[in-house]
Amino acid sequence: MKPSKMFAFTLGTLSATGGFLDIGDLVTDAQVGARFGLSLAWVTVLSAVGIVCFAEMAGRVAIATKRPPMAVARARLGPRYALLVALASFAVTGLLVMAELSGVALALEIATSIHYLLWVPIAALAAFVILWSLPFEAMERVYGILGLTTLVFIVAVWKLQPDWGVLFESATTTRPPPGESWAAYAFFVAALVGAQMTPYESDFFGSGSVESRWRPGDLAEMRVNVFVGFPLGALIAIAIQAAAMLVFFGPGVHVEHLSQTALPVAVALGKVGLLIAIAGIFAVTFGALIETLFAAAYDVAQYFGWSYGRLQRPARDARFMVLVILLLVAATALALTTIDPIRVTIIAVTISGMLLPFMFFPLILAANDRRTMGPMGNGRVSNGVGTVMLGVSLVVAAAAFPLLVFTRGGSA
Amino acid sequence: MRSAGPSHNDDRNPQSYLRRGHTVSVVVVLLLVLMIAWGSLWYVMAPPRGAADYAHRSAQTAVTLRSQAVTAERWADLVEEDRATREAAVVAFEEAEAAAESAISQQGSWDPPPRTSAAEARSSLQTAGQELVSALADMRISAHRGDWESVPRHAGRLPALASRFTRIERRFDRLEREARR
Repeated sequence: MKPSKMFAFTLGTLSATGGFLDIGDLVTDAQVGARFGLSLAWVTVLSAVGIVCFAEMAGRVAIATKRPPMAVARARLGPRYALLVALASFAVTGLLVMAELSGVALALEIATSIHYLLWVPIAALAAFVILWSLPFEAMERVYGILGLTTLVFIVAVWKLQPDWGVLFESATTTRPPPGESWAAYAFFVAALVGAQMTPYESDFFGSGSVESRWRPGDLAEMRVNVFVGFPLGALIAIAIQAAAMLVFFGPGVHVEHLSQTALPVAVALGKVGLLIAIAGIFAVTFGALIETLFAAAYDVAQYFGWSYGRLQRPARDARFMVLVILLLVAATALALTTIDPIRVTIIAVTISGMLLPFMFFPLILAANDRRTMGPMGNGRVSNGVGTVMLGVSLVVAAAAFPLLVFTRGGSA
Repeated sequence: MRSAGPSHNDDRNPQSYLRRGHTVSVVVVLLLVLMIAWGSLWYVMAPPRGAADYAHRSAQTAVTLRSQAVTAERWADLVEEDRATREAAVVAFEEAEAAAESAISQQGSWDPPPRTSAAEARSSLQTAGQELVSALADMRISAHRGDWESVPRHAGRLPALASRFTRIERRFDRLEREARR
């Protein structure tokens, strides 16, 4: 394999790793680790299997049909279904834009002690300048490489010298620890699934495959990105849970702030580790900000058939760019109302969990259409795993909102 | 001359019925969604309903306050050992103080149930909570002034406060169990 091809593989994999992690993950993983230890790590493993399955399917559908997921949904299930899904996905992903923007600002606040609200408009402006002027490949390279800094959480767990037997026992326990209720446990199952199988990830992946004009010959690269990148992201997510468990579980501390996500790294590795963790938090939230901006705009542009894209010059897809700018402005305005970004994140990931079956069902249908997919249609493994994960997402979708209300966002 | 075809306003026109039915169903669904949203908001925002709920949510407040105390103490120790940046520690102190203030204020706004020892437990929680807010404020002020030598002195009050919150949490847990019998 040529070095340039290897480099492209590596970058694509890193982008997928960063794509798994975002503000929802950073917050939820730390909360879960502090309260439940590793007894919810199985949810992360399950979510990784799910997102690998559906992202690979979305990429394959995009390569075979040369059409993005939302267009495929419209063709399969009619414009009314596609409109409802597009609107719901746009709303939830729009909320996540605000959460990611706040995450970027919070990371900068932790680094500088300047209040995060002062950073919000600056982060938004930086995102706009980068979107407007940098080619998308350059953006992916930067936040893909910077996202490697989140590996510091894995190093921190090792450096904290845990009792591996205790970690293993916690990871193989599938019930809440003493003092926690089954309702809170179930809520965090739903929240983790919503945070780690966010609809925008597979949507963005599929749309990206169309834009990059991937051919059947690119299938191997796409699969490496998915099969290596997302599980690596899941490993980092479990490391965040483990690090939080090792520092917070014993004293009975609940995590409510993003700074607490970074604290275990400081305990383990000192100042340098802390700075690397902050860089990692900045990188994943900034990368997720770009992805959620595009994903939300894709929902609308693909439904209405607008010209759009990351690879075109902004002036050639004016409506798409105007929508991206409006989203950025709305997210900035919402963040500046001082609404708690952590609370918004928890709500957004829970609602995103409710959308999963509506996004994945048309994908499975499309991937099974032999007329359009040809030899790239789903095999037994894809269908088996996809059907199981669809079932899981249906259960999560039904239970997420009642649990969100009944447990008051997991606090009860 | 009258038109031979059906009029859109003609009540016997099936399309007119379908349109009206569709509009009604959209309105009903919207109303249902609004009612669910309003009901959910009311459930989440309403004060505790009953003695057991009061005790449970007050115990959660004690947990929140303990969390802020332990977290702020960890950050102060890390800065003293030069294992954390001062910028991150300042942010942590501010967040802990704001969260503690909010938690104690919310708990204080709930009426304790009558004819129980909840009022006494509430008083202990409020007193300890105010002391925590005061300690965190002192840490924040010292940090802002660059007087980092004073931060460990103020942080020294936190371990005892954390232990008090644990005892108060257990007290409310007992009250909750009694109320549920």
